[in-house]
Amino acid sequence: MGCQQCMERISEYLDHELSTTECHDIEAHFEECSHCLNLKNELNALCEATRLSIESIPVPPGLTDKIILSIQAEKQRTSKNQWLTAIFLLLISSPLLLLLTRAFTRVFYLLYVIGAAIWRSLITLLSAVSPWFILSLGIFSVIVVITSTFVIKKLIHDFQLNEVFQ
Amino acid sequence: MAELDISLIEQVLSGDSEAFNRLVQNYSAYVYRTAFAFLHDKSEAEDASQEIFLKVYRSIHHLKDVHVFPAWFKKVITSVCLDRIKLKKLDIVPESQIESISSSLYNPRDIRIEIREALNMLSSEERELVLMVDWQGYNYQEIAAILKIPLGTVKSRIHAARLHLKKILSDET
Repeated sequence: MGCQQCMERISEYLDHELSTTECHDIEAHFEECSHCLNLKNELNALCEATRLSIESIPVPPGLTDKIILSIQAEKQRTSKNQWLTAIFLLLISSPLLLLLTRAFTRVFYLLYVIGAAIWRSLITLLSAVSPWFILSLGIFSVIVVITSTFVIKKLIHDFQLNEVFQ
Repeated sequence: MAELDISLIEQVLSGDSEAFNRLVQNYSAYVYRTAFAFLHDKSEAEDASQEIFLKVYRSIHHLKDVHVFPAWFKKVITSVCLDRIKLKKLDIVPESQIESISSSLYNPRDIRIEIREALNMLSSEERELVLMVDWQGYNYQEIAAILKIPLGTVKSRIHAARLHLKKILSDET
């Protein structure tokens, strides 16, 4: 192994990234070359000194308390979210409970009768107008649906669903 | 990092909030020092430490094996620090500023402070690599995966970063 190759691989040697054979080769070179050996020792000392220098970084007093306080605030927030989720789910499910009642059956039947009357009136109206009018009405409806979808998607883009259902 | 206390992690996983407080007490210094080494800013490092523990609090319950905690925790720390570096575009402090800080506050100069200042003079990419390998103990393969760069690039950049750090220190003395 030459000096150039050895110098390029010193860091790998120090970080135990070389195979056994490669380690033997580089160690054999260190025995022959004091320049590479010195560089290896210097870099090794530098790695150790880097660790020690970071270990000596002073930690601000009260840091642990601050972190614990922020965790407690998070707990309270999560608990509040769970309550909100429960209320939200109850509100969503309440119309389903109506399905079980007799009154709802009557309301549903009334809605059906009104809907059927509107539908029959619409069919009668459409049969009286030109096909071009019906076609343009269809195109207009498609445009309205696409635009609404786009707007709704935009509105809920940043909504954090995972937080609501946490 | 402090020695792994398996029973403590097990208590945290079982939902013991006191155990989580003890976890914060045991690891907050390590987390802060790592964040400070990456970010070189006291308040950024404090905010990052809080963010790291919040992430741990939110996700630790997904861990299935307590033994993977150290590696997972280290990954959370690294990702928060790297994200903050990207977000804030934190980079080297001008040399003149470093010299004025060091000469005014520390005389005679402490070698540990000199190394921290020298680390700050590396580019953010170089500093990330030096910290990940020398302080956090990642191997090259892990670094390549985290930074999404080829293994060969990791090897050459780590060596170049160390030589650069050595040069900065020898120029200062």
